[in-house]
Amino acid sequence: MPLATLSSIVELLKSKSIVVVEETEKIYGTLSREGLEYIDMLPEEKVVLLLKELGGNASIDKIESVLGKEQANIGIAWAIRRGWIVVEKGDIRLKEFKFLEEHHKMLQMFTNTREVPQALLEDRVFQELVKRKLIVLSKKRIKVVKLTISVDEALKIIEHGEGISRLTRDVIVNRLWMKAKIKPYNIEALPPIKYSGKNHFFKEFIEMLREIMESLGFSEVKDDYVIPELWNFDILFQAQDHPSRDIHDILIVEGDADLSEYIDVVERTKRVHEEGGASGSIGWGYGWSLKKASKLILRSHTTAVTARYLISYSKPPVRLYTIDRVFRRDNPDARHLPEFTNFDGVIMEEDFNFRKLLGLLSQILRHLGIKKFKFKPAYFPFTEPSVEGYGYVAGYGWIEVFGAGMFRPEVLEILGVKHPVGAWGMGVERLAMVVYGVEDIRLLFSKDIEFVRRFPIIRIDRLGGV
Amino acid sequence: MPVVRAKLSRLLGLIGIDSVDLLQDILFNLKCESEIEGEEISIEVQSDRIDMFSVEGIAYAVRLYLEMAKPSIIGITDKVFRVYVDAPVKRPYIAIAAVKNINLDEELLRDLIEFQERLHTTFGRSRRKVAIGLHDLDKLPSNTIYYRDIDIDQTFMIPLHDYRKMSIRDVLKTTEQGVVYGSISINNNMHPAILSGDEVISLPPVINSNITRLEPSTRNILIDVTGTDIKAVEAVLNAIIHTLTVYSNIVVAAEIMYPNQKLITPNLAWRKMVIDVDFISKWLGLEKEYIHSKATTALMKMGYMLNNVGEKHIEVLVPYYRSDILHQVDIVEDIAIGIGYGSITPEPVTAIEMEGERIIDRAITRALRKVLVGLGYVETNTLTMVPSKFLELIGVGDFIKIVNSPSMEMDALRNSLLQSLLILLVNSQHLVLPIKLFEIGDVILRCDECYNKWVNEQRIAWVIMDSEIKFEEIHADLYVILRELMLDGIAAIKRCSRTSFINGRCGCIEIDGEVIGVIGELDPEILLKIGIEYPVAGVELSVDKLSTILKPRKN
Repeated sequence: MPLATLSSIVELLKSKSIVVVEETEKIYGTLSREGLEYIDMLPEEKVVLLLKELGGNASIDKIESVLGKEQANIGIAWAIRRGWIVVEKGDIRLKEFKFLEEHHKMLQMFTNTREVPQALLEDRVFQELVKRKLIVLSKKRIKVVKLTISVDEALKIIEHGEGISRLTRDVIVNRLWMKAKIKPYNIEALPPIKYSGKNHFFKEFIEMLREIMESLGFSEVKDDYVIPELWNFDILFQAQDHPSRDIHDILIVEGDADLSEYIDVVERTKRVHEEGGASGSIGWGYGWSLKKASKLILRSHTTAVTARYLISYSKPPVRLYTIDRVFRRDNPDARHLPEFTNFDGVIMEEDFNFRKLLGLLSQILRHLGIKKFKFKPAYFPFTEPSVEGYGYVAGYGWIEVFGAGMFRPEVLEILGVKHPVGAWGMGVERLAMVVYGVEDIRLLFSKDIEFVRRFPIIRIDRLGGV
Repeated sequence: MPVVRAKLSRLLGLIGIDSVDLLQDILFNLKCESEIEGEEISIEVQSDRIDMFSVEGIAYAVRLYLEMAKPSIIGITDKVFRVYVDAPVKRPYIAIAAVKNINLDEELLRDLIEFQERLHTTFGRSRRKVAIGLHDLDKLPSNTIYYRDIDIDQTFMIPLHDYRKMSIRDVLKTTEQGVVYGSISINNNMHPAILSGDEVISLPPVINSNITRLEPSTRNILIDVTGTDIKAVEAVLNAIIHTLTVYSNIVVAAEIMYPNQKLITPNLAWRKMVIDVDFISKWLGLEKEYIHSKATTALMKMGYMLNNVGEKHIEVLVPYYRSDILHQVDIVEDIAIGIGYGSITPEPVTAIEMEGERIIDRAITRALRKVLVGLGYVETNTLTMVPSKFLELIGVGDFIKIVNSPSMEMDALRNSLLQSLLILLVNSQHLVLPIKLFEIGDVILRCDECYNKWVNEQRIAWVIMDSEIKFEEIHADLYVILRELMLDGIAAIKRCSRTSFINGRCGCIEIDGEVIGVIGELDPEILLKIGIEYPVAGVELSVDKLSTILKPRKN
């Protein structure tokens, strides 16, 4: 078990008074390399034994030549100190000696590291060996964990806790709860932090819009983000020099689309732009460029999607919508992002008209929970009449909800549509910000997971409307 | 959208009313949003109504709507200018007129200059399409005017607010306007100029000469408009005349002599248009009887004159200053505005049966979102736009780059959803672990054989980041998903290797031999590169491929 885990368990047991922890300091001794060498014979013993062999007398030089200078010096010094020899004019004479039994026993004791008993610390021989650095001392702090309860009690705890803390099947069926008390919890303490899995509130808002549209019989359509300018502008009768087509407003990517499979639409677009075609319009009166229409961009609105689908869904009744990302060359701030969400729809009926469009818009507004609303004349290049829907939201006042209108006859001719079409579009983020009381559009897009994790689910569900 | 700012009192005075609420209400109906701040009113006008780009134009439209004024025709008083055009290569068209007997003052002069700038920046496409010069007529050297390209080294002028005569080259080089607009119409060393009595009076679209400078004491104003589109040039001249005729009706015209045709400007004729009553009725959804009872008043409130109101047709005259009328539908809108949108009763549409086309997609995404939330994942909403430097850092290729992105942080589109989730995780390491995220969203893939080169694919991805990862967890979650989609017996995981994943801890999810997704643990080297210190495991599946597989099964 890792030490960290062990200490935390010990702390826990301590807090429950099941154990006490005693902390002591202990001294350990162990032989040095030198001590290990002398374990059988100390240098002074070697000196006197050599002298004895040599007949009790020898010169210092002779001793040094046999034992080596270092050993000889240490040995001679200690032998003199012990009174075993006398030195006179370079000669050594043996007096008397006895083996150092006690020293050897002591050295033996510390061949492996061991605790030094208190009594030994006062021992003269031990002190001498320490002083001569034959025994090295070290200190260690030791924690001793001791049970404060009987071993029997401890075993019981191992089986049931101090009382039963976790209910298990075993506890229940074996009726252990009758033998041991079910331990109370500290029910007032704070739990660890957990987060619920949850849907993103903005995605849920989009889901709500989808459900509204489905209830009115609209089908969702989708298209790619990278499209030629043709779908984004030209089929909507926006002149090629219109300021909203400037590279300061739209995001462009490299390359051109191959429009050869859309030759019919291209022909009609050219005709209507240049001189109105058969739509009854005078057109824009300029030379329309296929090259400009082929340029690839990131779509800047989703009317590009719904309008394009009308080319293939030209028989009424048609009800289509799309909710998807669009891109514009805006600098990110609290109100703008270069990528955001559009909600667009088209409706085609044999006898569709402006009054019905206002009716449909009112229905959508009511589904959104907006009960007070008004319509204002507006301008969009591809609808006539054009209208903006304003809704009244408590705390915000009148807010613009969407732009809408009847597709211009020029647009219908380009699309190859023979019946009136109503269309609307809106920025989803603006409305969601009002609905959820979020002041900064960037908060709708995840950067800070904590914002989503902590966004209460009770605030997400707006099926009751705005 | 252009914004017209004016003193509230001046605007109310021009209209002849004193109720601010009434003013704002009428503006609302005329497509204008207005805001009042102290003494000032800011009015956002529609970009196609250039006749309302001036305070006077707005006032006139409001007077008409309130029936305080009746549409009336203005004639040309005199024709004194003769303009010889040798069409400049880059700027071939010109229109000229004058309005006499105006009491100009400081305020009016300032408003006029602002009006001119509004026309320049929006309708004039920053002077590229149309540019305007305003002159003091009394300072004009001669009524004979020339418009042609001149040599910029051989021709000299005194630019506006200067006193030195300098070469056109120097005007283009040294004046502020020269630097900004000098490149628009220059053709090698030739540049368009308007001359009168041997003097350059204007260098369109750059700057006027100082000799005909307008002053608060000016009484007679000469207007020149030049550009690349003759319709736009005439429309702008008419809009200016419309504004000035609030002060005086004395309009002086010019004969414009092109090499092979002669035009008179301004053309103040009202265009005749016939509207089909049947079309009005069908388009607006209003009874013909109702239309007949309302149309006359409605049209006059919007400034039209009526030639004839018949059973089947209404013949109207379109004001000379309305350049936005392309089709009878534009007049139909004005009828609706004249009646008032508030007076048109909305007719609800009845719900119809939905077409089934995309129902299966909705069913799949709904199921995926439900299951992952149930498994404890938090849904995110990320941008498709990601920094290209991030993609390059983790060794991703084949992604689309945006040419003119406003920010380095958003200059590419992701080609895998995990990329967006990883970026989120980088910023979330201080948060309580584990972090479990998922998202359904689009990625953009290269498609060389597609007409638009890059196509969307809808994907789902989920990730776990924790202090230690149990692979079984994310693996088990994948099987939950497969089971809930009834694909558990059909899908198989085959060992494979993918960038960003640990070799040996990465599997491809296959159905009928087609790879529909990937599962694995992220390579520690990649994690450290992007600054993630915790292990991450993830799954990414193609929702589009799932739906192709499930469609036949479900039907």
